[in-house]
Amino acid sequence: MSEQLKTSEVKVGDKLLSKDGTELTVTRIDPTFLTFDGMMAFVEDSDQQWFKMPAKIDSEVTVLSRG
Amino acid sequence: MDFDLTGIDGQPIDPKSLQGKAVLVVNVASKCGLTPQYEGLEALQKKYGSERFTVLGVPANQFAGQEPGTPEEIQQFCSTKYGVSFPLTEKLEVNGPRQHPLYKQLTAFADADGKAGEVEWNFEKFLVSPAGDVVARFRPTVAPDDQQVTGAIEKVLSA
Repeated sequence: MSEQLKTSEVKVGDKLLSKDGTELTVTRIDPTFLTFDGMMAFVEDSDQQWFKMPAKIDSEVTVLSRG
Repeated sequence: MDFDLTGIDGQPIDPKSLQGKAVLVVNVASKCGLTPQYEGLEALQKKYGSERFTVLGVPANQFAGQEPGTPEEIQQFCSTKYGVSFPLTEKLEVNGPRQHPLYKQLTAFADADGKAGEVEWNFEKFLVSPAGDVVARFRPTVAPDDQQVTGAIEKVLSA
């Protein structure tokens, strides 16, 4: 069962649902995203996949499971 | 560039079509805020494209899934919306465990800030010299018409 959480509540190990439908297990949280103010990014860099999902700081994201 | 590459049409890209050329390799996506950079990339192709230069677009879906289409959809989008005339590869992975060998070489090269490693986002640009050496790396928000990019292309073409 998914839940909406603030980006600040997401931890490494949480499984997120990207807007395109990709599921990613967060292995890294980047506090910035490119040169854009107020943006951050969640990254899965694992043996399974590499995927980056940017998000607005303090926005809500869909968490499928907690790590 | 000594890699086996497949075009967006599923056919092998003839290595001779890239040999001896400066190649600007760019991972592209159709649904990104930076997608309008296609316009600038096509302008580079028109300005410098000849026997000695080409842009090479590499569709990749690892950045928020912003390149979800089929090869036919990607090709149609590029030609209809931006009149893209430069070659596109098949969809590749540019980071991670299934990173294409081309990107293993490219990402070992550092940008102007001295940072090597993973591709940050769609529309990161790598300039490969006619001799096959990576000579410059530009992060996604550096526009194709930025003087950093055009200056590097002109430098490598005049060498």
